[in-house]
Order: sequence, then C-alpha cells, then structure tokens
Amino acid sequence: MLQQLISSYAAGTVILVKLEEATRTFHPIGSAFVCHGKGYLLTAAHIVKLDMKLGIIVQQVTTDFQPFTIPEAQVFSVSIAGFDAANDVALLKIEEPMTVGVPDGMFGNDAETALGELCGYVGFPFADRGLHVRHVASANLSAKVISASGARQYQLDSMIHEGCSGGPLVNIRTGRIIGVMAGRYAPSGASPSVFIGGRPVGTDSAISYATCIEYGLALMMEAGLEV
Amino acid sequence: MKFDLTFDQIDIPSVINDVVPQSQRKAVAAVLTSDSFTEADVDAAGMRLLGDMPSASFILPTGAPLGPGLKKGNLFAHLKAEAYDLFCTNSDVYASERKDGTQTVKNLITILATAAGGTYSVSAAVFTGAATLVVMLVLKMGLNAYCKAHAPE
Repeated sequence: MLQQLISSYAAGTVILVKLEEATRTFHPIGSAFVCHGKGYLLTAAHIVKLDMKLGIIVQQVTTDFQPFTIPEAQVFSVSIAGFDAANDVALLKIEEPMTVGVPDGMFGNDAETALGELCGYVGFPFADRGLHVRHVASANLSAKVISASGARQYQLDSMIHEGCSGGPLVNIRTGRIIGVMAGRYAPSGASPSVFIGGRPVGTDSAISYATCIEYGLALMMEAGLEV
Repeated sequence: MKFDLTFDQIDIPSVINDVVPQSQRKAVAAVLTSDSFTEADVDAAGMRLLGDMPSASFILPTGAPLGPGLKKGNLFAHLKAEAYDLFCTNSDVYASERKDGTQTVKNLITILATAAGGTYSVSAAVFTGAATLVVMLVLKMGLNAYCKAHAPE
C-alpha cells in the first residue's frame, strides 16, 4: 500500500539540521523533501529561524536492517529561498549546484483529495534524539480545516511525532504530494508548561495536520521555478 | 537621505503589488491600507512575517526542539536597526546609497531587504514584506521623527 510512496518520495525526504559552525556539529530539527530538480526543497516554516545556518542529510533508502543512529553523515548546506510563516511553509535551496531527480507530476491539490482518502507521510521523528531512521506512516484524511492564521490544512487521524514536520503528505490513490506535515492537536494548547523527561505533557493526540501544498507551490513560483 | 515622494503621495497598493512577494502581500496590505496604522501594528505584522511571533493555536508544531545554543532573536528589530542606519546615520554601510541622492520608495525597500538578506544569507525576497512595512513607517512618521524616536539610548 505504501510501497509506491516509498519508491517515489522516501529518498527525497531528508533530515533537516541546524549547523553549529563554531563546533562543526549539527542538530536535527525536522524533515524536508525535494520539490524541484534544481535542488530545491520544501519544509515547514516553523522548523527554521531565518538566522540559522541549515543543512540536510540524505539517508539512503535500504531494504536491509539498519542501526537506529548513523555514526557520521555528509551534510549539504542549504539556504532559505522562500518563507511564508503565516501558512507555515519554507523553500530551501541546496547551496552546491546540483540537479536531482524528481517524479513527474509530483504535486496534487485539495480539489482531487476527498475526505476519507488514504494518505501517507514520510519524516524523521526524534532524529534529534538519535533515531536517524526514516518513518513512513499512513493516515486517513478526516477533515479540511482553516488554521488560526488562515492557512488551509488537512486534518489526519494519525499521531505525528516531533521531527516529522516538513515531510511530504501523499495522496495514496493519486501518488501525488498534497501537503507539508505541520503538527498535531495539543489538548492543553501548543505552549506546554509541564514537562516530564524533557517531553511536554498534555500535547499528545492522534489528530495531526498538514498544510496544503498550494502554499509551497506559491513559494516555488515566486522563486521562478516551474511547477 | 531623501525620498522621491511623501507618504500621502504614495500609491500603497501599487507599491505592494510591484515589490512584495505574493505570499506576503495580504499581511502587508492589512496594515498599510488601514488609515491609522501605528508602529505597534507594523511591529506585530513584521514579526509575524519573519517568524518572530508564531500564531497562538492548539496545534503543536512538530519540529524537533531547536537544541542548545539557540538565541531567541528578533529579526524584525534587526531590520529596524538597519533602517535606522540607512536613514538616520552617516555610516559607511550605506554611503553609496546616500550619495546617489533622492531614492524611490521601491528602491529603498529593495536596499533594506537586500541588506537583511545578505546578513543572514537568505533570499532578499524573504525580507521584502517586512522591509516595506519599515519604509512606510519611516515615511508616515517622517524621517526626523523616526530617527529621534529610534536613536540608541
């Protein structure tokens, strides 16, 4: 069921990291996915700050068993080419000139996506805690909503974990990307005040959200990319 | 530094449509097309555009915690500081722009956005909406009033 999603989009979904130049280290902050052959990626705007140095780590797709944590990684520097904080999408550009392969017709839209459609998403949950393993999950599209900032989003029956923001949401029937993973419903509010073991309390639910891909496509067009 | 127009002479929707990226126009227009926008309105909109002020909601963003060493910066404050440097000082950074004499409003927005983008190695387009807000604020307050209000203590 998710095999097509994996073959089309798993390799292009990467770990987004914050670079610490002084110590030459990096810190995983979320996920991103390749959106254009000229080396552009989309992610969620809330993951990044405009004054961050950013990079990506590309994890090979493998059918072998793999360790949780990779001992070392090649990091590609990226810069922010577009930023839409209100609609929670950001466009990144790999700084080293390169061309990357992307599937034809990779983007869908909300008009072709009905309630109850089976979707899948890809990301790297808990990469900041050493889980450097790509995660692929399924979710039913349960509603279409408008966020507090006016962004159109999909509501999903799944629990998205920290680190998965910025990954692609794919309509399994059409095989096309329809959203950028954004967050989950937090019953106690999005600014938790109680933490246990470093984890916020009262913020778990099996209701998650992805922002419609149209906002990402708008950033790509502003950057002069064909979509 | 001299402007080609006064605030009352500016066709604000035209400036917004010509300069500001589509994704930022609604937020910028919401402030600038109001008859009585204040500096507080500009600050709030500018901070939201640059991600300094996330929207309050029940959705928990699921990026990873940002890790050690994160400084909670205010990028919009930095942009206003750049505007002070450009409009109110004789610093070398903007010497050539001042030497060029009278500048168009659109040029000034581009100068400010480009400077901010260069500071953070980010596309200038990311800062254009916020730069538009700052330049219009300077024009509305008047250069002397803006400079006096934002002089370092």
